[in-house]
Amino acid sequence: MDGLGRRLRLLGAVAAVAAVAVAAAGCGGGDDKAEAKKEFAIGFQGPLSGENQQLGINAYNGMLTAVDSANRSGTLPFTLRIVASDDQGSPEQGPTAAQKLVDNSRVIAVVGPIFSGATKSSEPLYSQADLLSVSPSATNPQLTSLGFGSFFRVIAPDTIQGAAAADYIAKALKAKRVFSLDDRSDYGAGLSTALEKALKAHNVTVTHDSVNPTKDYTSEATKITAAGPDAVYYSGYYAEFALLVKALRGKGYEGRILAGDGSNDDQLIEQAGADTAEGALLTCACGDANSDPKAASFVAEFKRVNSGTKPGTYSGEAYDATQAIISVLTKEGTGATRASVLSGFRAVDMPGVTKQIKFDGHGEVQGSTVYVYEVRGGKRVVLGPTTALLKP
Amino acid sequence: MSGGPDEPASPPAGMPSVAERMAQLRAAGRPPDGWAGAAATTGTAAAVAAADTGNAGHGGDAEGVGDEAGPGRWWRRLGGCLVLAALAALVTGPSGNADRPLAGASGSLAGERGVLFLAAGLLAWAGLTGWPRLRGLLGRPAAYLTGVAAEWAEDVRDRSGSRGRRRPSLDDAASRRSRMIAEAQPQPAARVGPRPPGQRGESAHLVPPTDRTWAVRSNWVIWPAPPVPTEPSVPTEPPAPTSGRLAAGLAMGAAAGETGTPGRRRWYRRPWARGAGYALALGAAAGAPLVVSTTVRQVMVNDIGLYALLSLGLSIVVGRAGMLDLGCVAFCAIGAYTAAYLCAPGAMPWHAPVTVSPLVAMPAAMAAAALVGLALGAPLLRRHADLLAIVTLAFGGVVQLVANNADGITGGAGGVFGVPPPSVRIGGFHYAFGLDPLPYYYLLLGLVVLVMAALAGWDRSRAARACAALRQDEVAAGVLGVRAARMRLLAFTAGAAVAGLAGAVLATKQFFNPQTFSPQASMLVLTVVVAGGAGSRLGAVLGAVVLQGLAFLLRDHVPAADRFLYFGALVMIMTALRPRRLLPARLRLGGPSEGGP
Amino acid sequence: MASGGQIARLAIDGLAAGAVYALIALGYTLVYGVLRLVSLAHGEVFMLGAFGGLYAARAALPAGAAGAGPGVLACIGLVAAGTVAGGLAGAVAALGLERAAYRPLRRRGAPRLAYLVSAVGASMFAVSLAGKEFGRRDVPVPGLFTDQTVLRVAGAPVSAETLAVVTAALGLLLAADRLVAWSRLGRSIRAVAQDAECAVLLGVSLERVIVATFVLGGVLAGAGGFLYAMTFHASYTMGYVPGIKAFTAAVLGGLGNVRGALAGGLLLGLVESFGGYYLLDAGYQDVIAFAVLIAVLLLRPSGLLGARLGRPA
Repeated sequence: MDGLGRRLRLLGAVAAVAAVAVAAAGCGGGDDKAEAKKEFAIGFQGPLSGENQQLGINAYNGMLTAVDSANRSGTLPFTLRIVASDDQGSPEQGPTAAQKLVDNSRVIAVVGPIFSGATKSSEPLYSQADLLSVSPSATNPQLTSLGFGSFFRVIAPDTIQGAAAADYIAKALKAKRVFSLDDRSDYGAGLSTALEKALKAHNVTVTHDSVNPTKDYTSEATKITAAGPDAVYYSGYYAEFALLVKALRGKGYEGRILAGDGSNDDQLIEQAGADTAEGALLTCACGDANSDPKAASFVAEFKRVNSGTKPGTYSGEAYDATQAIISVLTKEGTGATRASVLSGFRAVDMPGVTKQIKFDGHGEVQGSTVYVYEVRGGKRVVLGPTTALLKP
Repeated sequence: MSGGPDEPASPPAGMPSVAERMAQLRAAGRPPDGWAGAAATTGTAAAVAAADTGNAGHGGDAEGVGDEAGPGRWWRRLGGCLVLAALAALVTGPSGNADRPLAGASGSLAGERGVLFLAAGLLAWAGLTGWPRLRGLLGRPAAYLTGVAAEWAEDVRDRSGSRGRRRPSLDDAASRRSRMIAEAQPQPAARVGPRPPGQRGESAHLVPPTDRTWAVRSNWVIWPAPPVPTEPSVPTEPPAPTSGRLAAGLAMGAAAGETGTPGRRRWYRRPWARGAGYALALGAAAGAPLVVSTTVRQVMVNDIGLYALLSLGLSIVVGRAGMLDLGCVAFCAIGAYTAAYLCAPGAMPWHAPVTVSPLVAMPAAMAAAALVGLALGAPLLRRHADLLAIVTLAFGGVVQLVANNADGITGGAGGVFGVPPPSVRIGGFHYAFGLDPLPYYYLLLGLVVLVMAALAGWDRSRAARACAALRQDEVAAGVLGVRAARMRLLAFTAGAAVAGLAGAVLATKQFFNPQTFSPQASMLVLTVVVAGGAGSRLGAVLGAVVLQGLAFLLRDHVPAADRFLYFGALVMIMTALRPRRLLPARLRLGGPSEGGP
Repeated sequence: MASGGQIARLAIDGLAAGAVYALIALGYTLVYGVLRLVSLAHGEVFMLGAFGGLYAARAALPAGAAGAGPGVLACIGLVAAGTVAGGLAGAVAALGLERAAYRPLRRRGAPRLAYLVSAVGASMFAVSLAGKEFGRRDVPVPGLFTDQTVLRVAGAPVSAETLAVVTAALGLLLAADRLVAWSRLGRSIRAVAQDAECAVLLGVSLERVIVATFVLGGVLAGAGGFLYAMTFHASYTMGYVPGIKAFTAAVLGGLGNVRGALAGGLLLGLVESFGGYYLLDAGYQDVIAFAVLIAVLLLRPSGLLGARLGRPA
């Protein structure tokens, strides 16, 4: 962990040095000019330590990629810098982390927070300070209806994912009876509610149950097997989903097993075992940049900046969020203020790596697609967007 | 019992005489065997003490053991030092992962790091082994300084501990008496000079009340007690100084005047000095947030203030009643949800018919938490006080689970959003708290001072003395009319109420969800309490300031997930070094008779 | 719903969970019997044992053979190796716990509170160290079994994994019971539990009995940890919930009673399994153990079988 943290700092330092160097070179040797060049900071709030640090690091790397390539392009009238603030993904640490960014007068916009809970606790501070915050990953449907004036997100809320997953289950899998299980987390409950609502609209029989994250899913598997559904959809995270899949297959369940984006991780295959996880389906509002030909240049850039690491979950979203912020900054020029960036951001309309970045009045990104992944031969394979899978 | 150089040689506390040791063992229901037997036969009590230090790792320097331990002990101590050094290297080293579990270990122990920590371990061992000789060389000046420092530290701790005022000391009489007795016995290695820090009265405490008839005899301990032994001191039979103190403590009121031994009244002990000290501390606490950034203010509220309040609450249960409560955050949760229930109509699906101001909700939250504490404690503490720790641990988990699962009542995993911040309306003056942490800081500061004052009152009350008596000897305390279950329940409920208060502040401060009340938070509170000294009011607050402040300052250097590694080690070391320090001076007198195995 | 097959399924689940609870509960009971102390860090012994067994199994199983499904004998051998290694790791952990957290206090005649606090510290330390060294996510035991049904009991399928867990756990429990009942060591443990003073006067080495108690409890908990991890994966936080449930089992059977811990564990497993299915919303399954704990403490504090190993409670 220490190593990762150090690597991050090192990367940050390298990026900053590179940025300054490039800026100096780009200005044709006018040293005084380069020094006079204005510097803006973009904040990052997310878990950079703790159990969920991987998601934070993924997003941070995506952001770093965007900032680095913007600085490198040499077309900006200012230089950009990242100020990272670690909230460990917890609501308690959120306000402290947010305050750190609010206090820093150079921070002109923020990418983050990563988690919904931390977003709820930090967003009042951002709204009060008129500081734009763009989350690449907070999917809780509530967030855009709590009255936060400065909150935007570039990912679809769970309601969209739930509805798309329901479409897929009802039309593509043609399931008649579905067992919907959630982990009682904020995320899981929201997703399963959206899913069930949409499934019922398709006249699918839904059985709902919730189990807190646990290790022992045997009794739940017994219950599910007894109910005999065509498909099981789990709204929760991969560690539990792996155990659930194991328990279900152990009880001889033969139907389809699906899960939401919280389980969309390669760890799932490692923990459940390739044999057991085979055939599991995962829905996610996130495209896989690694397999998307349109995102090839992003992937290459990402690998270059992050010493060979491949983009992970939310890297692409963070990249898009940062690009959107940079586009507003470019428009505003060196005179940009927090308030002007915030008001300018509402009008953003640009193609991103993951989707078209355009927001509705609540700060919700428009037109996101939900993709379906399948575990095949020990790997996650993208089947395609749900809309495409329904057609045949 | 001053540690001045002019005092006659005092018996090293780590080295009880054989007779004392035997008496202690007998009282503990644990007659000598193995090591104790060996010690008895060789007549070297120091060997026993040396074994103590050898096993306690760092314990050696503080215990001040003589160097007459055999070479076998040296080797064992060397092993201990090396193991500790390796552990320290692991703790501070890089992390491994599931696929390469040895990567972290080998990364921690290989190369320069390994050599460095090996050297540190050897150095520690050399220090432990050579310390007694070194101390001899340093001579009297250093010894005088340490003596004064130790006494001063003692005094501060006593002040902030249960002892509101200096009472004419039966302690002094008792320890002087036992010292005389100890001196009368052949000492294998009488050490010249003052005892090392923190050794005050240990020799007295090691002597348990062996004679159950003391309750009768102690009736003729008349207050103020003359500084002469009230019972014939027969050198071969260890006296029972604690008995006198217990009875005296119970018998006397809080009104006992300041009639301490004149020699002990140095300038820093005088009331004006103490008052000035308190005023200074309060002023510093009030002024501190004005000179720092808003981020630090947030930390001072969320991480320090709330935890100071929580640890004050826990210190009632742990430090005063001597029980372990591992679910204090559960009561905090109950307080928080009660506050949300009462003052935020839209925050939870289920809310009170009337909406009240958050400041009014605070006492209500206290009452709710206290009620739950009562309901949990009443059946449990009657017979199973020793199981309280694990039952509260389970209770904490259950409360979190229910908060998470009872969607219809608590709002479930989504947490509670939108509890209004407190507002004050006095006449025409109206002030509403906002997002700014500053008013919360002063609110918390006020509450902390209030709770500290209340605890100071508690420590002078009959309840505190009853708790002390209970800790010392439950049977005897029962004879004197102390109802164990009731006292424990009182302490447990009071602790729950303070936690509930903290919960109410938390609720009005910010968004919270069930994850806020994880068992880990309870562990953190316990760490703060142990680090500050469980029975100490000021200690609880200072513990929160130091630990949480360090955590904040080092947040970029120490991975947050590793924090509990250090906290766990801290708790173990603190307990191993000073098992009795967990309890304030007044309560610490409990002999092994009430102790565990 | 209450078909015979369903009941058999639930019973099998309950037995498998209960057998592991019983293994941990024995440690609580033994330590409580001898020291009158609830060893709060016992769940961490269980966790460390699981990691010990897991890495032993990984080392024993060649990486390539994982998916192929080794033969029956190899499977049995691997389970045995993992269990033994888990037991060893558990013993080492328990010994370390005793030396680091309890012995210094015993030597100083500390009050009981100090033992509890020290154990909590040890528990925090062990959990974080495991998290640091083994990573903070679930680690599966390499796939010994490809979940096939080997047996049907009253219409309920029993997977090879469950069969292995139940057999190994029951075997260990039986062995521990006999050890305490028949061996010289067991006699000294029981003697100390009954009357420490008298036992020591009669020549029993208290120190040795204490160490043996911890080691015995550690072996059982560590082996239980491996068996648990076979089905439920190992993780650094795995000790918390089973630790509390096993304590409940020990109280249920009578704290200090070896047979009681055994019966209590199995009973608690069954109560949880059936209660979770028929009575409660699945989300509240973990509340059952707590309710049982409180109920037992209120109604029959000495447990179902009474506290027989030690003095009467």
